Amino acid sequence: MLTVKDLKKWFQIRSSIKDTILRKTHYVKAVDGVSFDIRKGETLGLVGESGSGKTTTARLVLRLVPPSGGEVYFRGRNVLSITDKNELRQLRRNMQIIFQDPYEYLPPRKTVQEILAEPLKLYSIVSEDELANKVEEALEMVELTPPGTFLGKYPHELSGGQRQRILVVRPLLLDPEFIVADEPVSMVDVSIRIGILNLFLRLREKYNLTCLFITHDLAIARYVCDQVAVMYMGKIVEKGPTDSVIGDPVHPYAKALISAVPVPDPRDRNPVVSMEETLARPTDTFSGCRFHPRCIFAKDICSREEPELREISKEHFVACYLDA
Amino acid sequence: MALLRIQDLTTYFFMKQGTVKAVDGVDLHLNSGRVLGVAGESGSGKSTMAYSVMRLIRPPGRIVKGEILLEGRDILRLSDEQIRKDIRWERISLIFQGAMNALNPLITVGNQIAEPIIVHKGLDKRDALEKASSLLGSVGIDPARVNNYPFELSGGMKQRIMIAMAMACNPEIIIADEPTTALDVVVAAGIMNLIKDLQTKTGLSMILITHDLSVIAQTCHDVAIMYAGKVVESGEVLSIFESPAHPYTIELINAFPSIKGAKRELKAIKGTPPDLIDPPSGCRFHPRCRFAKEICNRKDPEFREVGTNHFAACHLL
Amino acid sequence: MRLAPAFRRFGMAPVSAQIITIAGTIICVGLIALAFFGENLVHYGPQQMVGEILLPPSSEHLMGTDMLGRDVFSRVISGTKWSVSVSFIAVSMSMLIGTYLGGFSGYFGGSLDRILMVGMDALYIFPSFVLAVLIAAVMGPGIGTSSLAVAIVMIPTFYRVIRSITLTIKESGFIEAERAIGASGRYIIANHIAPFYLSSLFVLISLGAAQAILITSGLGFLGLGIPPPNPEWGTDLAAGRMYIMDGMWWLTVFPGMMIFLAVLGFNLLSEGLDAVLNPQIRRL
Repeated sequence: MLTVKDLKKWFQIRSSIKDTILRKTHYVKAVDGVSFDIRKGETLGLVGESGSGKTTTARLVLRLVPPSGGEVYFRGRNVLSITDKNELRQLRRNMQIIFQDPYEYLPPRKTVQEILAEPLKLYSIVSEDELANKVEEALEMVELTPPGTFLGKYPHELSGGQRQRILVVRPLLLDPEFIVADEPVSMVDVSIRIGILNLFLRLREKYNLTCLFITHDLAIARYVCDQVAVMYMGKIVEKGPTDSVIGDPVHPYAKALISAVPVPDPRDRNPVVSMEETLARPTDTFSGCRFHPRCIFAKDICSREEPELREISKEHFVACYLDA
Repeated sequence: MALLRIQDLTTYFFMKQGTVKAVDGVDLHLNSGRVLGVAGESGSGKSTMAYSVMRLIRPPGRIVKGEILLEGRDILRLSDEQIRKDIRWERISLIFQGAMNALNPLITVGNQIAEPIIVHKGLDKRDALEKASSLLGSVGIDPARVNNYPFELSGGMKQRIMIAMAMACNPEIIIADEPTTALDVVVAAGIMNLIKDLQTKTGLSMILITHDLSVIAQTCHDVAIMYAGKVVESGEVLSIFESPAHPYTIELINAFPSIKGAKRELKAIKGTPPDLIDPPSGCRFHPRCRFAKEICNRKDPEFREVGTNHFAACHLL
Repeated sequence: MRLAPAFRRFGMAPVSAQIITIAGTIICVGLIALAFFGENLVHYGPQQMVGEILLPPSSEHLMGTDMLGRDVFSRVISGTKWSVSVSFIAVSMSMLIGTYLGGFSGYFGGSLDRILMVGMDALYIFPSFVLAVLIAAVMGPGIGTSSLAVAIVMIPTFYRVIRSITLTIKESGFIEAERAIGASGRYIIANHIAPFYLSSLFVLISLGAAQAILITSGLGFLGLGIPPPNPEWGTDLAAGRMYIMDGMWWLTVFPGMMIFLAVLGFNLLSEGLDAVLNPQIRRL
């Protein structure tokens, strides 16, 4: 359903006078050539640490941020090339996002009723009298019951978990086919997380959603996603079915990342596959593989040419020269 | 032999809206050379407990009751002067939550590490800086960086510097409050390894405060689980994870997705974290407890032994 | 609009702020009442010649009579409506234009924003009174001119404040959420950003009113405002100037006092509102 090709986002940085004279422009290449497919009904997890570009990728796919290059095909149409405002609006209805921050992403001066009614009103989805019913239905779906008590409340009167539930259900009122979830539980208390994740899973099934799930927490990715793509410095270094990638990672970065995740089992204390500490700055230009300065397996070719994603087993892709 | 014994510690915050019973009768002990993990969500009182040990509670908060025995001596009875000179940093250090943001951006890291050494040990500046240098080496940072400013270092490095600072005066106990939150996974793993290494090498005792059970599972010898200002279960890490006794512990362990092991559906803990101004009557967990009985509403359960070195507070045991 | 939170905020403000706000409100409401009903309450018409010229204040003529034998008290009270009307018209115009442009500029940015900023800055730097005089001199005296002159002078202030608020709010998370849902820029500005303008607008309006009165009186003083024989404070003040030397103080003092009172009232109101609506964080 969704195909992303070679997506790029370069942020231009102010140059010093010296650079302007020498005509050098510096860029932060937040996303530098990212490609993936998501089939209907599937969930792809985009995993990475801070600075890997996963959040920017999510924004690019929905065109919330103007791209520097690349294409995003949703049901055959290139989202990034649409110029007609109405068409874009209809598209927005079909491609939605659940945000991460329940404190900043709800309008502070509107009641729950108004917040949930808004998307319905914007697209005139239901008539005025139906509005109240729909809103109550939505509240019940996310277990904010009895709905009547929540309608008149303002966001600051609700707990973090309750706010997050509103963030989850609001975009679903538009009945989209595709949804991006941007770290939907990272700002919520630990004991609440599973509740919201389970809710998400239920809704996903009920609405038959296709998902792009962004997270830095590999354990959550494993719980929720069918496929996983690991990002490093703006590029995907490994992607494939969740069990394959997380169970048996090939790329050195993926290996290090996955081995570093602590397991909640004291009997299972594994050594961490190491990598060098880095002070690479986001504006640095690279030759060859982005990871090679930190890679303990680095070979000569790694510093010269950037590896492409290659399929090494069923649907499992890796960008590395290691097993060449 | 318990190096640090906390008995019936009670710290309240007296606010306009009511009294927040942040820590309400906590019993804990830390054995020499061991790492004690204190687990709990936000609002469980774990940070407040750490601050209470360091006597850093300021109004409107106050330590209302209890004893904190360091090698038998109650440090709550000491004067402010004694705490400052003899206890803080000399015998017990604290690494704050988000500590890497606590570094002064205008002073070199070397000088910041040297400062407690100069104040407590009385060394002169040059010797203190030398010691700071070697401390940097022991936390895995190039000693030459002693003249760097904080902005020149990454988050992980800054956290290592906080650890170095905490170790500056060779304390017996280090309390670390969420040392790996806000750090990337790989960097966090590096910090945890560092802490483990240091602890084995120097034999110091640690209290590790975190909401992340995985971190505790990987690095601690003993665990105490806190909920709503009370300790609900404590014991050795293996027994807690293999045979958890308290319903909250059971549910908490089940609420953590893992990247290994069988994929099972995880169950959420129903309800919401409690209001500390007006906590539930009887057992504080009872409104959210699957197995709650009538008595749980009335009476606060006692903290009793349920196995070797394994204690829990629940009426069902 | 929900009023309850507003009253609660008033209750939470420091006592000094509450006193100032109430005092200012009383004065302003009084002035507005005079503007509407003043003429009907006084005994004489403002143009009416009622007695001997240049009589000092007495029980019959509370503020004396002027050089044409008109009752100063009646003139002064009737004059309220001129100052208040000009203020009202001018401030409304500035507010509407300034807010609309500021919101648009702040949200959409781009070259339009840059051009507007430069233009507004140019206007802003110009000393307000001089600018008003220039406009009035070009267009000739009259109520329309005065209103326009004052309005133009005040637009940049509204523009800048609104633009600044818009820029800040625009970066908030919930605005991004609105864009993600598919709301248009105009919808977002009107529904989600505009509520944040209100507290600043109240303050700006009262400040603007004070400035408007001052400028109107000033224009009148120079003969560029409301033309005689209309009872405008500034005009009367100018006319009374030459009589001061002969000891006839009531011709200038009373109009001057009204100007002072009006400006004071609006300033108090704006100060008070500012303190109530923008509470400072108290030190613990």
